[in-house]
Amino acid sequence: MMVDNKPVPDHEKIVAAFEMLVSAQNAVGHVLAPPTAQDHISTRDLLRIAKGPKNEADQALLARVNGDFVARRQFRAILQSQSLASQPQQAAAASIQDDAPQWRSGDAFDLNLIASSKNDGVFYLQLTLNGDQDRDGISQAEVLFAESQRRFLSLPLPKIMDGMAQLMIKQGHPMWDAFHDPEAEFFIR
Amino acid sequence: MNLHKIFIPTTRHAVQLLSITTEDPEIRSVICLNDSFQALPISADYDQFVRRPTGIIEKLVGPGAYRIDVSAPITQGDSWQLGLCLAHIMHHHDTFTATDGELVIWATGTVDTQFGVNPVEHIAAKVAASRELLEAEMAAGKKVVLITAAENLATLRDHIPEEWTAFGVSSMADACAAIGISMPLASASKSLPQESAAARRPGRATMYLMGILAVATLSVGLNIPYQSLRDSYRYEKAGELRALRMEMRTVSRQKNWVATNAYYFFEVFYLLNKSKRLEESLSIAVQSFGDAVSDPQCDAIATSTITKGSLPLLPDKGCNVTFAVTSGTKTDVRIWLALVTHKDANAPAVLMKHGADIKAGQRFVTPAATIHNETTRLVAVISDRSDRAWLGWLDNLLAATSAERMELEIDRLTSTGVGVFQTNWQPYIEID
Repeated sequence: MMVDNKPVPDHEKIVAAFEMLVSAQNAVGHVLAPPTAQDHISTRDLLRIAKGPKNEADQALLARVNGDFVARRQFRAILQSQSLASQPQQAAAASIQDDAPQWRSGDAFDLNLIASSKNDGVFYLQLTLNGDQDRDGISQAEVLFAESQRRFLSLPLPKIMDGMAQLMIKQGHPMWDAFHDPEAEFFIR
Repeated sequence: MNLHKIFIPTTRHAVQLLSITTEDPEIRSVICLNDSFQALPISADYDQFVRRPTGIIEKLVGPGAYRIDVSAPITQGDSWQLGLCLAHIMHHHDTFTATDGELVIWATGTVDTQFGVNPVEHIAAKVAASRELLEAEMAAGKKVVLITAAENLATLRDHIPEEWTAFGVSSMADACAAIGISMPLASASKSLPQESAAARRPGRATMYLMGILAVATLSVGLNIPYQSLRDSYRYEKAGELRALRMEMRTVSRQKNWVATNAYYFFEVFYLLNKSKRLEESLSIAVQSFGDAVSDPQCDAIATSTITKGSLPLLPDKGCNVTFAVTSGTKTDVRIWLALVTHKDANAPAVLMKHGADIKAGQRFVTPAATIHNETTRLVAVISDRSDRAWLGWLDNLLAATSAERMELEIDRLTSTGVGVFQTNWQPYIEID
């Protein structure tokens, strides 16, 4: 008796559909899976660190946000909606001469970077509020965030006095690098 | 040339100044912990101490921005001023060192705008915290000199061995003389007492008259900073008084003669005039508030209106009173009223401080407070702008221990259009 091994058309369709299901499940499996205590970053946590990381645990959480595409996108949305002011990407690369004043300008605030005359790699990062903004409100800002190279950085801001706050950073500090990244965006909160 | 090391004592440790760097004028002066790249919390005060018009270091030695690296934190207070001022003068004379100085200077005190040196507290604790280090320097063959305000010298002497060298000074010139350096020449004329206010005014008047002529003849618009004046006016309207002062300071730094005079008119005819008008609109009535300390003499002062120089005499045990404050302006205003006692001349205590937003025709009444004849100061400040910018200046005024400091704070307030009323209760002196 001859057995016909040729698959019937319906069987091929079933196999193809099954393979599609498996690959789709693999693709979204980590999203559909119930979150574990370790990898879940709640919106409440994101809102908390958007007010400025206060301790090492907050910094660790920010580092986790940087490693998680979804959380990073959520955090960016939170900063965009809740920051007091932001400075968008720059149209052109900022100057990279270390000994010259360097600046990034925005509608709400400008950032200037000035090297210390001591030439020990220390730079003064000055945040200057621009005139037309709600200066009283923005002057309450306590933290500077930057998003550069797909990660968020933060530095606590000293009190903004007479429309200006000044930080000291070392050459090579991540914020120093962010300043020189024309695609970086800055937020104050 | 002799090189000098300098230490600033705190109650925890003696802090050595390790380096002084003249910075780009764009930056704000900072004090930072060596190798930490972290500005100390007193940096903002240090910047004010350096930069004109409030600061004295720029007046003394020229540049207006510095970075100072120190060996340990200085967290609060103003007692670092004497040591830092000396350090800047030594830096100016190239006699400052952080390493192998022949002379080791230990200095604590505050310095006022006339270069006077004023006393500070916690001398004993500062000596105790520095003793080991100073003894080590002496053991290494260094000459150690301790410098304080003259008023602190007796306390200092009580806590150091008799053979130690200590100076009590009343001015920066004295302090410089104590360590064998001279005051920078630029400051010499500025430090002459009483020279400034009286002598400057006639000169200013002449200049302003010339300014009018110049403005008239020089086709007005060429040098007048219209944009800057417009911004200043806008800042004042928005109550951004710090930004206003910064704008005025920026223009004054440009050394543009016409612009400076244009700003003079803006300040005198708009801001100071407004300040005076607001001050004159204030009416403060003191009302006796009967209770345990009630006294017929207190009852007699009921509803007295307070004016400068005519304050009701109070009984020795004081009176419980309230103050009713009204303003004759037709706009909404913010008023703060405070009572400060100067029983301890070095530490004025705020007995009462209350503020209120009042509309035209309204009044606000403060809670009751007990006042005495003995050097109680009444301060009332009024503005039709938000107090966000000027409340800090009022606090500084209340905490001021010297006439110069008070004048400075009053100048900040009045030159930005804020009205200030100030008067004192002082004991009547009977002459036989």
